[in-house]
Amino acid sequence: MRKSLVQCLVLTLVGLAAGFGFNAVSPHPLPVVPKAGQTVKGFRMVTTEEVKFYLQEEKSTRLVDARSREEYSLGHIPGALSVPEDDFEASFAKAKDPLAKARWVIVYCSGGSCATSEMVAEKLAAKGLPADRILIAGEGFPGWMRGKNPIESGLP
Amino acid sequence: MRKGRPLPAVARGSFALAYLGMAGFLAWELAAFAGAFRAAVPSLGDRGAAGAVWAVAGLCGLFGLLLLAGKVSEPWASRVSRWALALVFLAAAVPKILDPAGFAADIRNYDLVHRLLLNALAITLPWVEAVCALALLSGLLRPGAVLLVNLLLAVFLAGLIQAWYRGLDINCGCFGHGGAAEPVAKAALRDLFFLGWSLPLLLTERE
Repeated sequence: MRKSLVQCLVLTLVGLAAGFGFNAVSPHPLPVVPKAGQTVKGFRMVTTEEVKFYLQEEKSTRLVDARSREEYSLGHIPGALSVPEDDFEASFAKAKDPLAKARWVIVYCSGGSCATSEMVAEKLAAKGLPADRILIAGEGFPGWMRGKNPIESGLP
Repeated sequence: MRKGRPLPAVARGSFALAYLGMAGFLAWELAAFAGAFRAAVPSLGDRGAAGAVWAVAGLCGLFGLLLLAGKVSEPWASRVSRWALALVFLAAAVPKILDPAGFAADIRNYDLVHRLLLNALAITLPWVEAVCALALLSGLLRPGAVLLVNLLLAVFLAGLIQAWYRGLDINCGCFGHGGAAEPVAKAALRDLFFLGWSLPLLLTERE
């Protein structure tokens, strides 16, 4: 047992060294200690507190809910536009004017930086919205609810 | 595969259930696994990818039945399981090594790790998986590799179960950030099958 533990520790240390070493020589290293505003797929991630800051201080911030229409109707962040990934074109057609006028567009989904919010963010960028003004809410709708923030329900 | 030491009954039962369970899981999730095969080998095409999944499922099922029938003994039962685990861990490690930022985002979703440790974990964990896989394949430091693979799978399973219990609708992130979303409940079930392969190795390795 002791031999197994020692070998396990050796393998783990080799893995740690390989990981840090590879990251050090990588052309795009990840900072070992995350900086504020870490990105995923090029979009800056923001916390729930930052979402609240943007909504309070930057009046031309628009929220985009990337979840399904059903999930949106059950509860969403007040003022969020429903632009589900599986019905993007039709939803974007309705949301395009307010989004075009927004200074910041914050996309969220049901599980933090899950694939859905990134996919919608990429599609918004492909439609011409400046990518540096598209943010992804890192904690998503669950993060908003955990903070006991107000929610709306129903469809617009 | 008949020559060699007999397999302890507990180990044989665990291996067999895990292989048969994995065969069923592959058939149940055919579309998802075919998508993964196609992403890895684009030249396969839809039918080729589905065929590959059926072939792997068939092999798992056959091996499970042979184990149940007592037709497989040591060292082959353990050897095949070590190789299977090694391949799974390598398949899991490579996409995460290539996209540590995406993996950091996936870890963040579990809401378990402090923000300051996210990146360090995303940078190193895939390499620990890869080193473990290579040790399992090569036989180098084998007892340690067997212990490590069990510890990693236990930690992953605990993370998935707590995410499911808390109702976190997140992507597993087990095999990389991109691609089709994988619900945590299904990932937890799959991890149980992997533990069915790895836990008996603790027993057979001791012998």
